[in-house]
Amino acid sequence: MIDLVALGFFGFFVVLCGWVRRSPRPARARAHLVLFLFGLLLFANLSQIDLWPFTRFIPASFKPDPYSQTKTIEFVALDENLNEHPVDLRVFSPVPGWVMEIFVVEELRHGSDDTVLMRDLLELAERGRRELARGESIGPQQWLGNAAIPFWLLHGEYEEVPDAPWVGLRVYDTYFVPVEFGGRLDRRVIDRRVLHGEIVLENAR
Amino acid sequence: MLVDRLFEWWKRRETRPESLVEARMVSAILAFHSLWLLLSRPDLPRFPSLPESLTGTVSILARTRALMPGSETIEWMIYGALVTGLVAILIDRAPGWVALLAGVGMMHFGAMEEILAGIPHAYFGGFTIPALAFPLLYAGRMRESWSLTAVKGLVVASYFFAGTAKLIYSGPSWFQASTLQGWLLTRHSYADAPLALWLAERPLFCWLAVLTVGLLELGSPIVLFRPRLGTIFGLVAISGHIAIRYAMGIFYPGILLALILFDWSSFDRGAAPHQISGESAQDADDEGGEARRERERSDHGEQQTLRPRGKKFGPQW
Repeated sequence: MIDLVALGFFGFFVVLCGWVRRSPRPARARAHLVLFLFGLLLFANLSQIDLWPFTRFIPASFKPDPYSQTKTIEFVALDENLNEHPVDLRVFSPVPGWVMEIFVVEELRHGSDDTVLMRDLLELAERGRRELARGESIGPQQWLGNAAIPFWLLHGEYEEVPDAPWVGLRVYDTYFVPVEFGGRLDRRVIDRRVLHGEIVLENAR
Repeated sequence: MLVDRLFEWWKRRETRPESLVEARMVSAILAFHSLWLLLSRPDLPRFPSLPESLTGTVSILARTRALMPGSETIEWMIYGALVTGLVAILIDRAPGWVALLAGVGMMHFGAMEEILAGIPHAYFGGFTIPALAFPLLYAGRMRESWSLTAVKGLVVASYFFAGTAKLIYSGPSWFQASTLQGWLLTRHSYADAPLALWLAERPLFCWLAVLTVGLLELGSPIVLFRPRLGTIFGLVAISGHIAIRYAMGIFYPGILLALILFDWSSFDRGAAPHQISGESAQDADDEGGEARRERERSDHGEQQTLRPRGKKFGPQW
């Protein structure tokens, strides 16, 4: 329902812009438009109900504790020897890495049949591996190279890939402490990993 | 009292002389930012061709919200048309309706990008401000002062509400050195943040940084009332975003939008403030009689300058 509400607000906003341009009483029309736009933004940001593009802006609004356990999602691919390699999340483009993390974990947690999903993700990862192995640019850098917006900063680049195809894919919740207890500032301690999903091709076992 | 003063301020912003430089720069910055964003997301039109195990989870309501036609061919057509339109806006060769459609196009791709996860992060993706700003510019015929102020207001809102969110989620205690140290150390553990440890070990710097962030974010609305401060704010904001890239490994795609806050109208000084003259036949048909009289009253209240000799104005908006 929120989808239709957000679309409705945006559609009304566009219509309002057209009305302002043609209105016989432009001053009043402008006032209505500006009040509508910023009123919605104020509502979204005070209520924290997101009606994108009338959105709430919440970057870095909480306080992380580097001495407590935190969690990240890891995608790892398996080579022919079943060794794990981190997956460069640009292989899932056009789906951004942060979206894929949320999506995959939610889908796997719902208990649905994950075989098809994992197989499709493995195919996407394998397609990306082939492109990286050929030295091609993937994801945001396909056209602009390093002049592209560096979306890859959020998840890192993993361009060293084996020549042989991936034979499996795993998705982990990885729990770690950013800083070791005792105050060392240069160590990330992996506490534990919880496997959410896995696929290994039959001929690889 | 406050409402009266805001109303008076708004009336002053509405009727201030139009600035050709400001109008051109705001639309050009928006267009350039949008082009940079789209060309950095060249796979967007391929979304409908993703495996069914991904796209099949998107509800019909969510597809409607993102105005998704469901065909990769049509997506490429929309993408190509949007890029073409943005280039035309950038070089000041686009009629006004192109800006309106550009806003709708940016909304379409911004929503589609995150549709699998319910649009959790789109405020940060760079599509938000163009989706709202381009229709505003269209409404203001790409030149009217009120619309440029409103676009600046959008940019200010992105900073101001980022500050209020910190207060809502964490309270005033967000603004202390330990918060930034926590961010630096956490981001260092899984991002390319070469300065993170060096900065985290310097509490004095962290205090300075968080207090500056608080001052800039929560004080950002002042640039709407003091345009000259907008240039300083924009420079500090851009510097801050660059610093965050190296300190935390986070890059804000909307970094160039801070340029919109510059006091571009100050570059009109030395020449008499001028109106963009000569309305097109379409504009004349669009406006009612009262609107035309209001514009004439506004014209007579200001010093007039004819178009610069030898310079051909851009398309009639």
